[in-house]
Amino acid sequence: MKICIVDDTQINLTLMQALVAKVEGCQPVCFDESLAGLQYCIDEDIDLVIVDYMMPSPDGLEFIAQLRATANRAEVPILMVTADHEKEVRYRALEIGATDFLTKPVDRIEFLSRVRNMLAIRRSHVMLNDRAETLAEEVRKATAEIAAREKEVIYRLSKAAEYRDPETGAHIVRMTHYSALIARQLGWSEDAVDLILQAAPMHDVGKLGTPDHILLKPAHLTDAEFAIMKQHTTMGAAILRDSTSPMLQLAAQIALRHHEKFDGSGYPDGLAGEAIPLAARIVAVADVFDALTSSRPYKKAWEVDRALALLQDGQGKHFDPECVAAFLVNIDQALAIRDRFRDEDE
Amino acid sequence: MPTLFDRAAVLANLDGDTDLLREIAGIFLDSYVDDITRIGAAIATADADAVYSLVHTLKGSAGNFGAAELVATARVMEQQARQGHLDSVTADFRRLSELLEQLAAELRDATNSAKQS
Repeated sequence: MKICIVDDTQINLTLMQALVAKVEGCQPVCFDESLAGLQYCIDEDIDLVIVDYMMPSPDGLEFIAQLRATANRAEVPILMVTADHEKEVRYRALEIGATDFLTKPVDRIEFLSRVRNMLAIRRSHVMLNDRAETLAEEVRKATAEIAAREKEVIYRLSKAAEYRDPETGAHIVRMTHYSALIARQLGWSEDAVDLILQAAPMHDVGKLGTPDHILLKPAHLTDAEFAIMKQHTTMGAAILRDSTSPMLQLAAQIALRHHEKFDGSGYPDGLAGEAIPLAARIVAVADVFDALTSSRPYKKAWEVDRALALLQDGQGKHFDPECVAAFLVNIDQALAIRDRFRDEDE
Repeated sequence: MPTLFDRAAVLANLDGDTDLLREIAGIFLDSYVDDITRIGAAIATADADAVYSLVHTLKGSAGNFGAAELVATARVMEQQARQGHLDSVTADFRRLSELLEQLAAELRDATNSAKQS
């Protein structure tokens, strides 16, 4: 334990230094000049400060006031040394933040007892702070683990839902990142972007209820088949509905509404404009762009420019113009995403 | 004259450490003459604040050796100076100087005889 003693009177300094040196585990650091002592106590982590009252400026009271005003020095124990008739000085010192007092002339028994008590207090503080830090770290780790596990479960669930689907897993990853790109451009907070990153993968989870002969048909669907295919939106919403989790609520919205069209000609309910949740309007752009620029059993991948032209033509009709614009502004990043998450057979 | 230096009590307070006693006695002996000079100068220039703080400090140092009468005299001077009354302080100062010389002599004796034994 480091104990700093500040007293401009040589005899007192010598005495207190000798006394401190007798206490087990204690190392005295002495200053006969107030300002130098103060600077040391501000810069270093001292375990106990013993400061004389009667010193040239800063005197004991100013010393304590300035030390307490420093960051991280609100709790270090401070003993102020005064002559025993200086009552008002002591009251003042208590107000400013002195922990306790020592009277002059220094009495050995009183000195040792007070120092030991102060150090016991100090030890408790240090232990408490350490423990608080350790606990905070444990909580951080545990929370991070839980969050990571949650994300993984969602991802695997989404993969499970798409397992029968001829569309590959990389589609999910790409369109999710396109969605995040658009959301960020539209000014979503990082927390919100994180939600859409977790929710978007589940947009087609309703396809679990789509029969194989429709889901896996390599050619275009008949009207009757399409009617059944469309139900994957309502089925996805049914699977994800009624959660207290904001993320799952978002996922339900996206699953239900990502096939609505801006002009109201979409499905399942023909919602239009801002009646369609923004997340669904975002995913619509992301999903279509990826569908166009990927190979499917029934079509080849389109050139990027052709796909972008379709998006632009669709502004106000299929797509929310702001979502398309947000995507176009970031087309370079989108292409980097496309490059990064290629389908395995390419 | 009654003894100023309370050797038994001081040594007890120092836990019998005669080396430490010699050290602090040495510090006192090295500085008391200077202190007397400075207090005298402060009185001569009627600097009540300086008289107060110099006497206060001296009181504190001397108190480490017991020196009850010296401490009492110093306290009176200190309080007078605090209130700006320097008239009686001059007389007290003479007494203070005598007592300081006495304490110094006793400390010299004590530390010299300690060396011899």
